[in-house]
Amino acid sequence: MMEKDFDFDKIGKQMPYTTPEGFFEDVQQRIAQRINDRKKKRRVRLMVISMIAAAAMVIGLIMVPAGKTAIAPQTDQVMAYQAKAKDTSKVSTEAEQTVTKPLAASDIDNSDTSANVETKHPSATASRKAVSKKAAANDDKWIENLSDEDLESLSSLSDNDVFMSSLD
Amino acid sequence: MTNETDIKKAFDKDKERGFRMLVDKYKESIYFYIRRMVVVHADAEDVMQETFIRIFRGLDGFRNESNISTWIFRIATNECIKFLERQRRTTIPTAELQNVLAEKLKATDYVDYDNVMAVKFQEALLHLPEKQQIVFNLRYYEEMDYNEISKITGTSVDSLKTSYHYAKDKIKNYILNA
Repeated sequence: MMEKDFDFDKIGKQMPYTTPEGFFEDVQQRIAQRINDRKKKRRVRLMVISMIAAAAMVIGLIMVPAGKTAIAPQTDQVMAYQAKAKDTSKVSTEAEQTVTKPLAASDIDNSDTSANVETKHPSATASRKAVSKKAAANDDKWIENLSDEDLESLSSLSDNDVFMSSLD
Repeated sequence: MTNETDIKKAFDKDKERGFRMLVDKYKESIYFYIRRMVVVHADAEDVMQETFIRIFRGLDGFRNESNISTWIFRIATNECIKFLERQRRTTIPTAELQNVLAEKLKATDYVDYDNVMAVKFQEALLHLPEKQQIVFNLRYYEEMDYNEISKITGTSVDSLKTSYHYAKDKIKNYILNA
């Protein structure tokens, strides 16, 4: 039967825990062993990390010149395209001067803005001019196919044409 | 018997010699302090070795402001808490850990089951909240004063006194009623 009160002094510092024989004698060695194992592991880890870093650097060195060559053709393509665009714009300006000369006067007010657009987007201007050249050629063909009567009726509307062109 | 001053002097001359002296002086008290918290011998050995490795690594940063024993028990306490925390996270839900440890005490190696009262006493100790266990162990078994325990646990002296009082009461009740 248990006592009504418990006396701590009776049990004192008794403990049921025991250890294997000679456990405390080689604690030093086991700790030293563990410290050495950790050091070895750390050394291996450092080696692996430095190898990975070296491999990454080598890959980087290989990839950088390859990157340059990969970019170079693109630059060449752009330059070739720009040169081509210049040529096209030259041809189309000449064509414009001959084909669309009457319209030049009405475009005076917008000359500044069109110049800006041209400097900003030379290729777009070139293609626009090429399209207008083609349209002018089609108009000529169409006029040639018209009969005399049709031409007469169209010329009677010339006043309206002037009015409409001022609206443009 | 080696005292703290001898160990400190040895540290200054030869770090490894100082460490060997320190291990010799504290290995048993640290082992049993940890064993009372983690119960199983293999776990106690593992936590003890980890504690001494931490001490070895921290020797250069050790400031002479506190006692070596305070510093060592602080590291051991942290290692115990870390171990129990890992147990909670990996295998055992928080509320059940105390019961699991008490069950382990009933069937593990290197326990003298003939000493019935001592086993029951440890069982009672394992049913205390973690903080009360630490305070009781440091005060009852290591005979530390409250100021020293306060440095280890980071708790005020008044709070420690209350914790110790509660711990003793709970142990007494467990032994008399369980």
